[in-house]
Amino acid sequence: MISSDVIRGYNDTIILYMLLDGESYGYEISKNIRRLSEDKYVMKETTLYSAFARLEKNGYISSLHKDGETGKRRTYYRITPDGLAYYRDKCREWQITQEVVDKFIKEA
Amino acid sequence: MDVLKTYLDSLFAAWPRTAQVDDLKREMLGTMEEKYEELKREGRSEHESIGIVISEFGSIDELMEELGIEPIGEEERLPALPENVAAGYEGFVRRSALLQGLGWMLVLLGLAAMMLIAGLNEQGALGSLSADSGYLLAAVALFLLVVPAVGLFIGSASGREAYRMLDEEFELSPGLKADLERKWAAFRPARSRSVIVAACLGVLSPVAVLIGALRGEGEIPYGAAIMLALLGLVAFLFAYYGGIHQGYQKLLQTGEFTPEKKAENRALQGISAIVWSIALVVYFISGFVYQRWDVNWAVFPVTAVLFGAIGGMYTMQCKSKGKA
Repeated sequence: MISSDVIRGYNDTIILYMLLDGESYGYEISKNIRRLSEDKYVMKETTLYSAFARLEKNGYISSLHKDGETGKRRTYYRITPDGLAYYRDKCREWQITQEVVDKFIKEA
Repeated sequence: MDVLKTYLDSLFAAWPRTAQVDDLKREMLGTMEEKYEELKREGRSEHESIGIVISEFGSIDELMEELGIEPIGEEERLPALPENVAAGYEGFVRRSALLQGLGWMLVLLGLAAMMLIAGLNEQGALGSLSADSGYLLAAVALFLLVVPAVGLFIGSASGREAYRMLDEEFELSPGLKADLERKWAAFRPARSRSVIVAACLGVLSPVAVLIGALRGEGEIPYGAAIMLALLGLVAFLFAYYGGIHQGYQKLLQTGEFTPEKKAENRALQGISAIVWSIALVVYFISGFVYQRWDVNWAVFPVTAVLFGAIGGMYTMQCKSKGKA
């Protein structure tokens, strides 16, 4: 399990990635993050909803209310063009970060 | 899932209840419930599933900070309803509803007894009594039943002062709220049945008068007596079950007792005192000065209708203001 401190700067990136293939909602996103990370990372509920609020405020995602198949009202999120641009920036940033940090990692 | 809802309620209690926060809370509850259902489908126990969902919740402070929402200051918080006050009020409501129900039943039974004795008297079935003393006996029967009824009405209101805080806005602890909601839900089927029974009895009761009339004019008072006795039962059912129902609404601040409605009712109460005083003055002046006792009683129904219309308009105005 990864500590949330390390990954904090990339929560938004992870969520944007989950929206690249189309709209999704809270639980589905959280479930897919767990699955893709092979149970190594579970995003906390409040972290997820903080990220939604922040991303929406910055115009990176948009939300809409929909009635789910069980009749429950759900909020679906969709990535915006600004969000996509931001996602690409973050990917480049991570590549550089990874290159730099890698230089200081060795089997001790 | 009551446990998850109660958990969220307790976490959100320290934060202002805005539309945004309410939406967020509902959304998060939905997510937590879905997660819980899925864990259970994977074969985990109820306890384990709840434990996992709660452990993966995170920190509410982090979330509120992101949203820029400040916690409610201690002084702005509404007074919390103590558990013993809620329990006491529940007992008070049951007792007071019972007394009121019995009171209304006695009043109608009194009228029924009066009708019955007057009917017997007219048929000359009261033996050696003179007609006048027969009517007197009818009035005495009414009196004997109405006096204890008045006692019951007074008794039903005694002890109300202890629960004055319920007239203002207050806060319910999540546990107490869940507890009261459960009790209310358990009570509702009985109340629905009582409404159906009362409505049926109410609709059927005039049949007694019809049957009396078919058997001959002299029998009408007996039919009326039976109808009034049945209506006594109807009044009891409405007052008893309705009273308890309202008690739960008041404790849970729903229905007629939401914070907005409370403010509205306070305003309307002020207007109502003025309007009814005017009506009373008009009634007495038209009666004593103009001697129109034959028609002036119409002031009261007219006032009631007008007041109902004013109340309706006021409510609508409040609603449109709330929307804007």
